[in-house]
Amino acid sequence: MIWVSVTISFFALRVVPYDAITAQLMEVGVSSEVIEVRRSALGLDLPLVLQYLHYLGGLVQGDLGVSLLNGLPVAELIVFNVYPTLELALSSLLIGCVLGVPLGMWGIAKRWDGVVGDRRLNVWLPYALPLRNFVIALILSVPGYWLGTILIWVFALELDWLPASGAGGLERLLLPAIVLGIGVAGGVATMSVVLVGDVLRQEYVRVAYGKGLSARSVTSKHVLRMILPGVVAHLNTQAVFLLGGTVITESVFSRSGLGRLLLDAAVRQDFPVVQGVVVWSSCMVLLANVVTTVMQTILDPRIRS
Amino acid sequence: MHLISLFRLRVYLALLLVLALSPVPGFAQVERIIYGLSFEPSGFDPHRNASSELGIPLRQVYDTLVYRDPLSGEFVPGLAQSWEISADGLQYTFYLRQGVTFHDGTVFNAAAVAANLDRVTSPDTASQKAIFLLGSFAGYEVIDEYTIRVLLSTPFSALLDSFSQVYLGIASPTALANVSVDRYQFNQVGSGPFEFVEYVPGDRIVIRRFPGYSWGPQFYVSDSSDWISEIEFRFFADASSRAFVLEAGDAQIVGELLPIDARALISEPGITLEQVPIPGQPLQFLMNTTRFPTGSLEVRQALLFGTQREAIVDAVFQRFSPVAWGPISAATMFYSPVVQGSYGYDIDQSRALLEQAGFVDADANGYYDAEGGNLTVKVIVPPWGLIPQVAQLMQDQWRSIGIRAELESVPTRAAVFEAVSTGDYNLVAWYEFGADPVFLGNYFASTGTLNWTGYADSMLDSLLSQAASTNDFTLRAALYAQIQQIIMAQALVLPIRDYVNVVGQDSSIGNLTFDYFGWFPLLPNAAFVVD
Repeated sequence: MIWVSVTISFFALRVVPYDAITAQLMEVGVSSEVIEVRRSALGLDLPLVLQYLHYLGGLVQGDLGVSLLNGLPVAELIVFNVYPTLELALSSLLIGCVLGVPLGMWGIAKRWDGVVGDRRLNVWLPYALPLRNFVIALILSVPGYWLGTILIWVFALELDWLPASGAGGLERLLLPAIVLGIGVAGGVATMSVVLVGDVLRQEYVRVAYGKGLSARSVTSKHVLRMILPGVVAHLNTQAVFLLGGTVITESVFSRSGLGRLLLDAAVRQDFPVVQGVVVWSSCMVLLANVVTTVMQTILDPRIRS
Repeated sequence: MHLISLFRLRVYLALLLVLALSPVPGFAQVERIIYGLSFEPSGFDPHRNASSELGIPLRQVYDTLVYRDPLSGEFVPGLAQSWEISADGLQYTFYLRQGVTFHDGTVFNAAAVAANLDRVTSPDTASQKAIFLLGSFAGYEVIDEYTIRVLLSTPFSALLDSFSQVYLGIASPTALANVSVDRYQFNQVGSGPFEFVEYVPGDRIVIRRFPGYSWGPQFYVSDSSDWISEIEFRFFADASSRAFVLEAGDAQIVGELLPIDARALISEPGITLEQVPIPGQPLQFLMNTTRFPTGSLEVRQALLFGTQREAIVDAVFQRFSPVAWGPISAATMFYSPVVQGSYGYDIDQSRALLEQAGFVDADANGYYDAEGGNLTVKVIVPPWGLIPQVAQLMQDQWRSIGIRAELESVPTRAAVFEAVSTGDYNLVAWYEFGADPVFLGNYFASTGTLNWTGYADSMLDSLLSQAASTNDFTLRAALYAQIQQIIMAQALVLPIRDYVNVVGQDSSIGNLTFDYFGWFPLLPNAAFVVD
């Protein structure tokens, strides 16, 4: 799979006519003869297939190449930028879970209480689910760029509680993690709603209620446990997206990170850097899949047995 | 129900956490400030990389052989106390200052300059700018310990200008020898007022005041008790975030504020705005003389008369820029005021020119007719510098002169080159910066590598090459005045606004001034304002 993404990105990037060094030198007004000399020093004048084989050869030895513009190894550039992306991705997944699962399950206790016969709650019953759906739709449709700007305005400018920018330390992580976490929560909540609907139709849930267990106990012991493997599978798809870097949030909060690195390199046509991030992202997808499988095995009683 | 209260509990906990993290009020004034750069350059090696942005921190780390006076632009001594140019313009002899040491203790002398010239011209360095600043560089001779002669193969009148730029800043030869070309960007050693501390890609570059510095140019303040001792440069690539970080105190100085944000910040207490004119080309559209309809002089002139530049400067740049009138901005050396006011907004004149060129609007649809429909010009629109907004206004304005504009957005600089290489365009937005207008040769000489107007005229060629090779200041001024006049008479460019960098700063910092190139702050002079 890594090979496929490497191959596609390698050739797709070279469809554009100029590499980073050519564009840079053209801008300074350098003659095409000089540019050719520079390109050949970097091996960019070789036939594409040969360049590709060189790249693959380096890759199997763990060599991601060097940036065309600053001569730094791509692996080193990734190392400099990976930690801010990792901490942001993981913390927003956590926030997404903590907010999303309860939101998705919101209202089921009331539904059963209503059916079983707690008349006090019936007043709220018709509103609980529409309200929940409204909240989910709202957070799914709020653009991160807008939310980030609003959070900066409120917490950094008006209240002066948190810094508006940068990476490093909990106080710089909180706002961007909330922005991304809320986005994740929308997806998690939607997924939870669907899964909860399935679980509630199951016999054993009815039996559990029938036995007189409280709504809380049914929700936490039976329903939550049954939906978790599904939630984890959904988080996998979100993680894949987040670990590749989150360009917009990184931009709004002026954070370093892989998204920023990728965007800069793509705009400058610094092919080796772009490819390096693609390789890294592919590895992360594989890793996320493995982690998901392991977690599902642990969480799902059926697979475990 | 229980879930809800659990949720509430979490919210309270989160709020508590936030409160616990809030900063303690009355935080003492630090001597370290944060300076926001507009993006992270592709590399921080001045000899290798080309970005203007890298010079903002590194101008403070390196001294150059000569400096330009920030106000007059005249050359003043730097690491060279004096210099002589041979009558044929092929030999530049620099008499170097004695008693200068680099931050690592290495003594500055002619051998140090030689080591730097070797590095800049070495193929291993793969210099993207510095080597080209040397023009027809043909080598050097070390005359004695404090004298070095730079040799050229053909006269190149911009050489002193080049030696005043940070890209030819003089680095410690010991530091250059100690690390590989690629690693030098992490271990830079100069002889300037600040020493290099660290560069962390993606995150920051830090410099610290060098205590023993005493050999600066005449315009560096020699001593101040309130000076800034350490500066951390961070990258704020999202233009709209820059005003936020300034207001939030995340940075004390940020450049390239969006005009609309700058307008809002004017009334903000505690924040001061500096408007710094940048010499070089204005925001301009180069007009293709080899393609219909801009091949016709009347059409090019009609486009100039039909563009209401004041309205564009008002709307897009919030009046933070002067209107541009010629191929170089008013802040540039040898700018000629004769072009000022030419082609003022005049719809009637514009329409008269088009009719003179034989265009009619037979179908009375508001646009002049051309083969296959309306008279149309194709404009290449890159995304930076608010060019898309400018192009849209121009498109609107040209409706009233009966010309339809087809805007083609391109995403990157390389994409501009690609679009231009097809020849299928009438106007293309492009500009570069520089104090010496020698760059005009690239654009308007018939063999120029960036001759996107396609204009070829032997008279203009000879003026440009003379101006680039003579060292007679008065003659150069006369030549460049004539060049600017020809370019405007031929209507080769549509200039919009002179580039002005709007810098926002915390009012606690005083005496923030910029060098003649405009981009680079003279940070050794900046100091905290003491109440």
